[in-house]
Amino acid sequence: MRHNEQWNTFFAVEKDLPYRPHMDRTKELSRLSLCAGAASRHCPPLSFWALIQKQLRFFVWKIWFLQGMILAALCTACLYLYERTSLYWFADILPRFLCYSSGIVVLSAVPILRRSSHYRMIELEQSTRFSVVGSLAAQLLFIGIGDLVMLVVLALIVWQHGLTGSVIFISLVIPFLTTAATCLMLWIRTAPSGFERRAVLLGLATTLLMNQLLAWYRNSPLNGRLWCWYPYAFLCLVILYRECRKLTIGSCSENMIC
Amino acid sequence: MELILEHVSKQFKDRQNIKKAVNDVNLQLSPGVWGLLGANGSGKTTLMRMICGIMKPTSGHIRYDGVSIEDLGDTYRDVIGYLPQEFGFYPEFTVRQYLEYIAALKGLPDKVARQKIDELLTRLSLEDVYKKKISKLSGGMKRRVGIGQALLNDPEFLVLDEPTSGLDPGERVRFRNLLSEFAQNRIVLISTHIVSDIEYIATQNAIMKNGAILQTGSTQELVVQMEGKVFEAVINPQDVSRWEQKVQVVNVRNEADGSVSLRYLGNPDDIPRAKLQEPRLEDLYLELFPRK
Ligand SMILES: Nc1ncnc2c1ncn2[C@@H]1O[C@H](COP(=O)(O)OP(=O)(O)OP(=O)(O)O)[C@@H](O)[C@H]1O
Ligand SMILES: [Mg+2]
Repeated sequence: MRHNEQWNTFFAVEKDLPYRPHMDRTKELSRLSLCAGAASRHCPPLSFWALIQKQLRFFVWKIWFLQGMILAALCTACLYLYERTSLYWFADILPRFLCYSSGIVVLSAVPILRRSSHYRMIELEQSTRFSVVGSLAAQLLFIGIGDLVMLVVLALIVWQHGLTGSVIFISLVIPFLTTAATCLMLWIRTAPSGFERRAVLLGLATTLLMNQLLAWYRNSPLNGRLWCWYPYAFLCLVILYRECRKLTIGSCSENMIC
Repeated sequence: MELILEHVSKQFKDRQNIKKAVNDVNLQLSPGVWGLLGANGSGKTTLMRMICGIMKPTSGHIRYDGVSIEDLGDTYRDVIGYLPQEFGFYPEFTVRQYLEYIAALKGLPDKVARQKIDELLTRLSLEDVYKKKISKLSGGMKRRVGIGQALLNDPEFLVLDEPTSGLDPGERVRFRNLLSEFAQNRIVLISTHIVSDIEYIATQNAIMKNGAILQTGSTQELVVQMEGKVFEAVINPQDVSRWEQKVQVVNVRNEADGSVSLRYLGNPDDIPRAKLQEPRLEDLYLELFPRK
């Protein structure tokens, strides 16, 4: 009713508009659409956080179960390596192991992120209120939490076995950020067909490259100067933030659909 | 309520080539059932994807009640229901879970979603299978679930891309009735190659060819141009292939006495003793998209 009154007032003031029939039709259409809109929205739609809570039910166990299995495998491998190797382990094998593990942690998201396009749900999801961004943002949030838990558990295990915080930062966190940033960039820029293959290849290549870079760093005069990695980590975080933002404003979803 | 397409085009880059899937489409969709007819590859799906905001047009504008659908964003997506041509689903979902998942993405609060899902399960005869995994359902049943999800938010504007493929004749009739009832004060856009599915329920038709809209109008308005061009002749069964080479055959029907009735487009003297027939939309379709 309030809307109707507003329109009536507006058109009462603007009495001498030209194209009267046209304006009458516009007025009628606007009225109809406002009334229909008001009638259909007698209850407020779900908020974004309510959507995320609802998504918990649909996806979260699948995501965390997969990540849990991968974490268990990584922990077993880590402890096995610890029992089988000597002091040399600390110096060389463990940082390498952490670097590869970070790649595996990132790649554990691939089977989850490909689901929407693999099962041809992406087009339908895109046409809904929250669009594909709603479901992907929820999934990315759960994946992010899972990744964080995986990294913390791995870090705690190797820390308990004597590895220092700085080595953990350089061997686990830096490669993780690098691989995550490159894979996210690939994901939102390319068509879904063949995404898994490309993501795995890119993830592996990035991890190998990081491994080489870290080996070079350990043998260089820069070794021990942690500060030189801070700008790099910051850059990776900026890229991750930008890519996630791009995803949430939906400017990349067309690439992902077709 | 009105959706206006102004000079809408979409092109795809396919390696070196540029493919114009939709070419300068102008259309004004008002409440009622709209049939979008066209041969394979004529651009129906691409046009529907743009109308639903899934793809952006390369050029041109799409406006809903005068406002660009891009500006309307989620307000626009709130009032549309879309059934894609390739209906997808997560294999672990049951029918009910699937509808609950889509209802959540459509922003329906729990109570409304529950009521709407119960109502749709009954209307689409899915009450017996709601606990089943979608992957275990037949093709036609899956299609019904797809139609159900499109109706969840009681859309003002319903876009269905080949909704009837895979439905049996009984379900087709029920579906047509459901749509006719639903289309009161709403815009329903249906794409299909099955002319009979929209011939009787579409208030308006748009015919697409090579990405462009060739003709628009009600079925009666469109078929007028076919008057005096559709004939039926009774022939011997062994002559069918000979006549098929000479005239554009619409339909071949075997009669009880062993002869064959041939409906064709052309002239009365093409086949001896041919009788003039009332034109139908299918005849126009075959005139515009002749069989090779
Ligand atoms: N993502 C894409 N990339 C490149 N070309 C595309 C893409 N989508 C569609 N096309 C091309 O655009 C044209 C129109 O395709 P579209 O799927 O819209 O046709 P259609 O009328 O829906 O066909 P059908 O009846 O078979 O479903 C086709 O030639 C198709 O190859
Ligand atoms: Mg199509």
